[in-house]
Amino acid sequence: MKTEPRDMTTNRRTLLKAGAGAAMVGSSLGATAIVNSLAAQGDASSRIVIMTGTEAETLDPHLTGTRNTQIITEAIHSGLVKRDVSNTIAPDLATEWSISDDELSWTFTLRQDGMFSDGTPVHASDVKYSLDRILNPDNNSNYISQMSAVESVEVIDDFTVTIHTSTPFSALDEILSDPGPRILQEAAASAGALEDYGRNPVGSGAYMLESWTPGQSIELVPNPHYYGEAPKNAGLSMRFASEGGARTAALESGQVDLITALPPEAIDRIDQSEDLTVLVADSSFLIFFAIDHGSEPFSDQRVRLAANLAVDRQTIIDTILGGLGSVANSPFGPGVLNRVDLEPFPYDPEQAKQLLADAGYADGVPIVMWTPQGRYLKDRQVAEAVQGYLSEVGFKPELQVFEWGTYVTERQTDPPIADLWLIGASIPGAYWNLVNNYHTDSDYPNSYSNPEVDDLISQASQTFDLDEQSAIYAQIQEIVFEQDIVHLFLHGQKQVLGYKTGLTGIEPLPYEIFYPETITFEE
Amino acid sequence: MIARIAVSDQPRGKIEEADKSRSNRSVMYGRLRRSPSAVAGTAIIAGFLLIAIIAVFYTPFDPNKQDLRAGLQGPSLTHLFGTDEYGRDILSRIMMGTIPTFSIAIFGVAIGFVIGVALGALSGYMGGIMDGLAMRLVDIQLAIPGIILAIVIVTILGVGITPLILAVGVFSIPGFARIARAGVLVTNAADYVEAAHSIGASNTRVLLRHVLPNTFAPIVVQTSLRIATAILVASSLSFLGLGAQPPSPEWGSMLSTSRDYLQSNPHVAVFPGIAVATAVLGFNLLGDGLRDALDTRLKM
Repeated sequence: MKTEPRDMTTNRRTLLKAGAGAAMVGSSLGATAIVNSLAAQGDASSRIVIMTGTEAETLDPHLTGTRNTQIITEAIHSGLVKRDVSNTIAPDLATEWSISDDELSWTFTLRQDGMFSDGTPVHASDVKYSLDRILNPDNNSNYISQMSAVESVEVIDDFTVTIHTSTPFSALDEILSDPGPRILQEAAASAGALEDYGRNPVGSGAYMLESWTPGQSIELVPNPHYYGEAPKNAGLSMRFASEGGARTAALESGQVDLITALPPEAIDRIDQSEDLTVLVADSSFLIFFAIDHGSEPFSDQRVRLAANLAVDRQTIIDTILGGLGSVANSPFGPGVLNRVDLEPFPYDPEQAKQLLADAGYADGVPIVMWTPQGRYLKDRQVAEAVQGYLSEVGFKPELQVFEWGTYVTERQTDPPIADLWLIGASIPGAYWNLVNNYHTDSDYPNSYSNPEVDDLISQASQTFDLDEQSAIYAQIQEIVFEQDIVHLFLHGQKQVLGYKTGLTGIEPLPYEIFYPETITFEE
Repeated sequence: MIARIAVSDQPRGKIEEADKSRSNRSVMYGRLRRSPSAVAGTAIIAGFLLIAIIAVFYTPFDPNKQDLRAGLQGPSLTHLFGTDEYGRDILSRIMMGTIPTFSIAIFGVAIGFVIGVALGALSGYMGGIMDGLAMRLVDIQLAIPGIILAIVIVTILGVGITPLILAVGVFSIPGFARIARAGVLVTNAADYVEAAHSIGASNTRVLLRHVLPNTFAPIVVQTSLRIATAILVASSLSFLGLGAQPPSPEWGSMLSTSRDYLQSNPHVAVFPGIAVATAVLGFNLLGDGLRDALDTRLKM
């Protein structure tokens, strides 16, 4: 099994030396000194207060694909396998696994000391229940399409489970390592309606839910029955604020210990404060506008190309993102396994205008763009900048801004209302990334369907030969990026976290989650 | 002073109506001219209306033209108010933003005025079940905080300027209804109304010609004050992302997008903030001045 490169963490000073971010025009008013509340500094026995940009929609890992939410669902649940902090697939509830000679059966051996937070052991029947729950089409799980090759789950004994696939399926461990297919306690999950579990989750992770005050905070305390090392902190208090400025202010005033998606314009200020620290780390997020291929004008490939040529990505990165990004040169984000570097789209507004004219839209064409706010680095600002670029070449874009909870529901509307909607994809493996964003049965209704791509995705997942996989994935990337121009590709982003100096154990994974059990204040 | 009070306290007889109202009007204008707050308020509002008209034909820069590399510049001779995060000229955007901001407030209040005054006047004039029913409806609406009601309306109708106008309109109805009803109840008891009835004037005629015109003073004051509130409500809703959508230079949405730069580049927030505050101040001053000029009891 190939492993992915360790995410490179750099600090802000290194970045500044490299000259990135210098384009952020400083105001003469400069940085405002903020007095930090030192009284709020905790110790090893205190709860860590973490603030992200979005509130959890649910704590049901099968029903969310939001990375911010998965920080919490991962803390509560265990899976058969997970990714460790070096982004390698590692054992979790399963201590070992093997693949049958015909490559159609994966047998997992569970650890004997796996316990749910109520003290009951994790049995193979819970694994079967959880995976069947995802595979049940009535449940509309985010993970059903990725697991379509799974035929059945068989309980061998209390601590052995076999997953049978209809075809050889080399991506199974990659999929099982994602925060999605986690193991729920059958008794808790089958007790009420499907949605109820997301409010009262019972998992076998390092933490358990203490309370959830909607709109305010989600409180987690250590799970006393967790099989692994006990968390180094007394618990977590998860808060949220969609505004970067609000998160920064909460950090500066000492109300929270750690924030995600620190806005670029605040980095210098936070970095200059002795009491606060900035962490800039690689991210596998690729930010793009998904395109509705099913209706005019974007059903025309020339219009999709025009949109891609109209946007000056480097300028957006240098200004709005403060240098914290890289121009998209692949349908995969930076660091995704089997990614190939392709030629990025140049900024060529003249050709874009010409292409629009050729497509019959010389007089302009109205389009609808959607963006969330607070989910991705500077998402709304990026969308508004793209809106400006598109209107320069003849599109007449109307931009609508959504709160995340509404956005994840609305963007599933079929057929889509918007022509373009902003999405970030961070899946570290190629197979799932493709199924989610480029397959006919992708995660959202964009009407893109290329049978050749679907076929190649299946081929890649059916071979266990890594070289063959890489070759097929390279071919698919060329098709979706250069030939079909599936999305309006924008950029890969960096993840930026801000926290109180003295907090240790923060190791963000490239798909922008982290395991909070190691976070603690230095003695 | 005494003479003035006598004039305005005198019921408007049918024959003398034209003369008396002219003298009333001139007295009112005289008071308005001498009221510093009314003069200041009028000047501010006239200034903004002038800016709105100029903005239709001329702004220093295209208010929606982005130049990312020139973003977040402080005030300079080229950009008097500086540029926002997209490099757009803030002065041009505030000038152009006068139009959506004032449109929402004025059209919204106009809706509230027409429906509210009609509802209030009818319920005050008719009395009985109609009155009870209408006032209970108004009570219900008053029980719901205005901004929350406006958010509900915008949520149902969708975001944008038109739903925002409707929201401001609905939000303004109870105030106008209450004031119109109170005015009608007082005026209804006057001798000249009875006189009008006694010479056989129809209900419609009595209400439109004799009752309503004499209740207008507080309604006019309410209108001015209400527009000030409406600007704030519209800005608040746009600030919450429920009103004007990008790249519209509506002041509330300008404030909203500037939040991230409050500490690093405060000028982005300061100028739209000043615009909102000044406009609200203008209508409040005018409202105060109108109240002083129109309300005779205050002068006693």
